[in-house]
Amino acid sequence: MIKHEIIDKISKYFKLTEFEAEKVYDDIFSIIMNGVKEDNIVDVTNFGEFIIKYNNGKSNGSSNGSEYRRTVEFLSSSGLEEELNQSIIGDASGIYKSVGTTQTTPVIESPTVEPPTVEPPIVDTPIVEPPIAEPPVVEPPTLETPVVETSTVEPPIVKSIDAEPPTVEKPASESISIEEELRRKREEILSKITGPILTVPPILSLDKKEEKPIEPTEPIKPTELTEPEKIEEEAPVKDIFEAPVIPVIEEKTGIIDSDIKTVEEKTEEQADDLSQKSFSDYFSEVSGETKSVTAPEPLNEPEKDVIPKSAVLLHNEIVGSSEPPKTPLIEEPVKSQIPPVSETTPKPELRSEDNSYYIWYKDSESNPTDTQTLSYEYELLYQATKEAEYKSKLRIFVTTFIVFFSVVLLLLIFSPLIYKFFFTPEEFKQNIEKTQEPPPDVSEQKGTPNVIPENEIQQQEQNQVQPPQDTNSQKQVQNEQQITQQNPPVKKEEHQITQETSKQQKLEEQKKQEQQKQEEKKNQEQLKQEQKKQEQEQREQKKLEQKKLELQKQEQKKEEQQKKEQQKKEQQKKEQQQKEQQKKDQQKPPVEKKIEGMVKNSLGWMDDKNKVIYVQLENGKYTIQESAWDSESKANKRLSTVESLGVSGLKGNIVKADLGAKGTWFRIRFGEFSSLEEARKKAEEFRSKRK
Amino acid sequence: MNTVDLINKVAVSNNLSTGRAEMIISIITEKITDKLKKDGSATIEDFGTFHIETKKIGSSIFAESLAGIKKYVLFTPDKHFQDIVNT
Repeated sequence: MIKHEIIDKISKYFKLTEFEAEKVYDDIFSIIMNGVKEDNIVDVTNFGEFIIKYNNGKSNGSSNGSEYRRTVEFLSSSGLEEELNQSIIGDASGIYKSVGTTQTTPVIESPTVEPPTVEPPIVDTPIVEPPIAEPPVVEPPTLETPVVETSTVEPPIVKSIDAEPPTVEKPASESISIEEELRRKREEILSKITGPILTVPPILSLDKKEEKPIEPTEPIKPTELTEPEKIEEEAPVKDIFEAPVIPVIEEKTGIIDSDIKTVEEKTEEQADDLSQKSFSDYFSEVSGETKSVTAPEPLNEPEKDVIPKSAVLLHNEIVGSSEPPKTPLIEEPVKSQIPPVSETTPKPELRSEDNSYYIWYKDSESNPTDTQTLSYEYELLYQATKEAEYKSKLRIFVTTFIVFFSVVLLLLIFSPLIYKFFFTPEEFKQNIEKTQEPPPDVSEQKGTPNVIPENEIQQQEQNQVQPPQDTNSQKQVQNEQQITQQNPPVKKEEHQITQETSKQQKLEEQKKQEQQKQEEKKNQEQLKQEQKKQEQEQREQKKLEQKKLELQKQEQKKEEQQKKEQQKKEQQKKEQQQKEQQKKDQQKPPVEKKIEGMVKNSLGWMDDKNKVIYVQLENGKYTIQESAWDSESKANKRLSTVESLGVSGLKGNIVKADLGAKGTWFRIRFGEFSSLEEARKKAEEFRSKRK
Repeated sequence: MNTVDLINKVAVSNNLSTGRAEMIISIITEKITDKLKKDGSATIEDFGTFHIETKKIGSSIFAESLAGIKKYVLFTPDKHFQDIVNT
């Protein structure tokens, strides 16, 4: 049953339970069915397409109203057809070759070579894939090898077929029995192949696995048999092409059978391997036997034992240790995982002849040992590289620190000298000269008492005149003098000569210094005098300014006084005027303030009865103010009306009065009267007439 | 429905990666082809049966040779599959 085989494979490869694998299996087909139902087409690459068709033969297009039922049709892909048809071709080649052979011994040849010269006596071989899928000697088997090689081998096989006559047919009963035998043998071979696997992990034991396919030393020529019936039918056709071959076969069938069996075993081994090897077969099947043999080791153990040599060597090189590896090293079959560091590292044994590296992609499932080894190796490498980096960085930092620290120390130690040399070079040189000069003798010092005090005086003066020297330099000079005094005089005779010269020089210098001092004194005096003059001038200027200020103040005062006097005079005048006015007012007839029916206001006397105002003029006379209007036209009208009344002695005039905010008013006034009584009488006449 | 869709659906329904789903599908197809090559037919429960048929191409002598024979695969769906399709 395919289902069980598929489920077993899935559970083994992907480490799933049978239940889960079955579930996956069912899901796939259910999804396909639903896809066909919904989308009417399901395409599976390298296999075919499932399409819906209708019973009346039409496609998913329209059908004219008649009832129909949908069916599913399968269209195989070109790849599948090619595989199936190649099986035909393989069968044919095997059949033809079996018919056309004369040799008794089987000749196993390479499949990729010599199609016309092949003469293998293989007749009743089982269905086997074409000779392409031989195991490669050196190269690792890949998924594409069987497919690719099939294409390359097709032409030679075809030629062989075309050249050779068709195969010989045999009775059906014999073919069935042969088939059964072949199947049994195949099963035996398969059981042998799926025998106990080596204990070494697969990555490290590539040689053995590579050797497996290489075991058959003799050349192999797998063949195929599709249907013995057809072969039997084609036997007479062969006779046309190779008539003498047939009797040989008929005579030697017994011999051939035995030989064939031995060859078949070998060929089946390889052919079955190749035929059965497919994409899925490249995933290693862990059978029960293998499991029992290759029990997975505990995780802890491989950590100790599985340290590849190259990793340890790398580590040692980086670290710089020459200790032998503690753990038992395992030779690396594949070195592509860890590239070589240097020429001194030993070459891996499992290296191809071309000194090229290759990578073995083996299984989809990862063995814990492999992952552990790889991870441990990488960890070692990583650690080693990191250590090297840190060490290099440390060296750099330490060297820079030492350099800078030393520079700083040197600067601190020699800082005074540096300061002198760079900032006060003159003093430095003088000190050097003084140290070079020999120290003076004590006897000479006594004999020249005058010199000493003068020197002392000069020094004192220098100290006074010159700017104050730095304390450091003074101290150094003192120290040097002390040193020179302390040091005993050596070689007096030589010193005397030098002393005399030095004395002369000193005298000269003293003279010069005296002259300089005198000059300086003069200069100072001159400066002082100038300063004094300047001060005097300044004082005089100040005095003048003060005087000016005083004069100004006096003038101001005078002006103020004058102003005050003027003000006083003006006030006096005003007072006089006021007095005069008062006098005049007093001279004027007394105004009757209290008159019956009249009220005094700002204008004059207001008569409520007659509704007029009696205004006193400047000449002392009184007028009658009849009314006041805000416009001149109105005032003129009123005047004309009053004059039209014909009152005698009422000469009207309009007086304009600007009251400011209140506006301009036009006052109508009539006549001039010497007294109020007259004005009043006239006003009464006026009113009487107006009524 | 493409193979990509099929793979994605299988992966989603069974919490698998797309690579594993693809490998499972390839395993199934390979098994079916192997079975077809060996036995000439392959049956799948609740799905259908695949079987091989041959055709002779041409009428000449060469057509009768194996080069003139061509195989093709036929599929007969199961009742379960037909019922699903026709519902």
